[in-house]
Amino acid sequence: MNAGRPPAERRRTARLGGAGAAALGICLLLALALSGGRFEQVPAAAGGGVEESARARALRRQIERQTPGGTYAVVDTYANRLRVYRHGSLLREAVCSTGSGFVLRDTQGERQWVFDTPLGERRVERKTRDPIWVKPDWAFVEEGVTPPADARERMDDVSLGDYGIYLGDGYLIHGTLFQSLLGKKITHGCIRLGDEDLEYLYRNLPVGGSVLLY
Amino acid sequence: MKTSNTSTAICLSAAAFFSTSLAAAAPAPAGAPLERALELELALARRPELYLVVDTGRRTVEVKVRGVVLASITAEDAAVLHYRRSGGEPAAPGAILPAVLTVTESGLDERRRVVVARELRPYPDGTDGADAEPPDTAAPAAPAAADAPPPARYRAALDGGWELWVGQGRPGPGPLARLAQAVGDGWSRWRGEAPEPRTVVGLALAADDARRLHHLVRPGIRLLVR
Repeated sequence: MNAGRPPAERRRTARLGGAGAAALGICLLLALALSGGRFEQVPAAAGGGVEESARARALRRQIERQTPGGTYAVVDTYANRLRVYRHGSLLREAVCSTGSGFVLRDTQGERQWVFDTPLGERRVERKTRDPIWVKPDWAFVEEGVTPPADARERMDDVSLGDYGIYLGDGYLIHGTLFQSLLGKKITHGCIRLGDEDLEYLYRNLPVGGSVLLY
Repeated sequence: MKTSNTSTAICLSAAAFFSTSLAAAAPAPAGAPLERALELELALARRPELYLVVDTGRRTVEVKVRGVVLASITAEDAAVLHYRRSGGEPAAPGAILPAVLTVTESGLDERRRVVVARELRPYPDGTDGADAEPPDTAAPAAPAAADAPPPARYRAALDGGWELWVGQGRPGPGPLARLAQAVGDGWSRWRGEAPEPRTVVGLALAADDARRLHHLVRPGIRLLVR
């Protein structure tokens, strides 16, 4: 059809066609957008300035009753700080180390470990002096060694320091041989403290006491 | 001319297409939202898990467990944005908030450093484990985690079709994301598909605060949004 037209006319026709297609596309997008919808802000549920009902006050009291009493510890796993409170008052703040967040993958055993410090509330299950660490499989896999079959080969009475505060599921608050690494996210999930802070915590945080981790 | 006619026809068709309406929930009685929010929080505080309280009115995010405020972050802006189809009814007050949502997916695991142990040597016979290199020898590798600071902008999927958007500036989806949502929804509407519920909790935080919050936004963490 265009073979007989001069080149200039063909170019003009092509430009008009392109502009028309673009206009059609924009129109189509607008039509779709208009027929779609939009985001609307939802008003906040509980605004201030209104006197609370008796029911609301009672609920607040119930929430307060969930808070730990006595002495408890709070661990900030982002800033690597451990704080000790008694009845809400800060007693001591210490630099600690927490989980690296690394993943260790054993391709032979097809196993995987995530080195996170757990979050939420843990309770002190027990405390010991001169704790012995029974090295789990990952401690060997990490070193490139097959875990030994003999349980005696797993005993380590050096790495955990002078005190161990057990939080369950293999997580402890303990000491470290590498004090210069305190303040960093380098552990396998446990919380490491310096010697003096560890002794303070051992003496002041009772068995059953709360450790709140975030 | 033919192109123009077609475009006009599409626009007119779109304008005539505003018919679907969202089911409106019954309005909540006065004072109930605060009590409902406290009831929801009490249920969370009775459990040992960490939870976040996002108060869009006060623009705060509190990190809590057992009712104890462990950290409080003041947002530059905070909003809950509910996607409403054209012609639909706005959500009734109290129908959306307060709500407890669980993070179902976040990018945290994708950003983890993975160490792969490919070949394990046999454990040396007669060697006392305590005399072997202590487990802390893994520590020197760990500071590399600091090489990749947590992001200041991220999103997480929440249950019920909700999403959490954390960033700087305007909270929630930007203009392009909003346009894309509207176009996508318009297209699905033309195809006669039902709307997908979408509500976004948008937090505009200072970059440091966003990074600080990032490691807590992991699957399983609950948010009380009020």
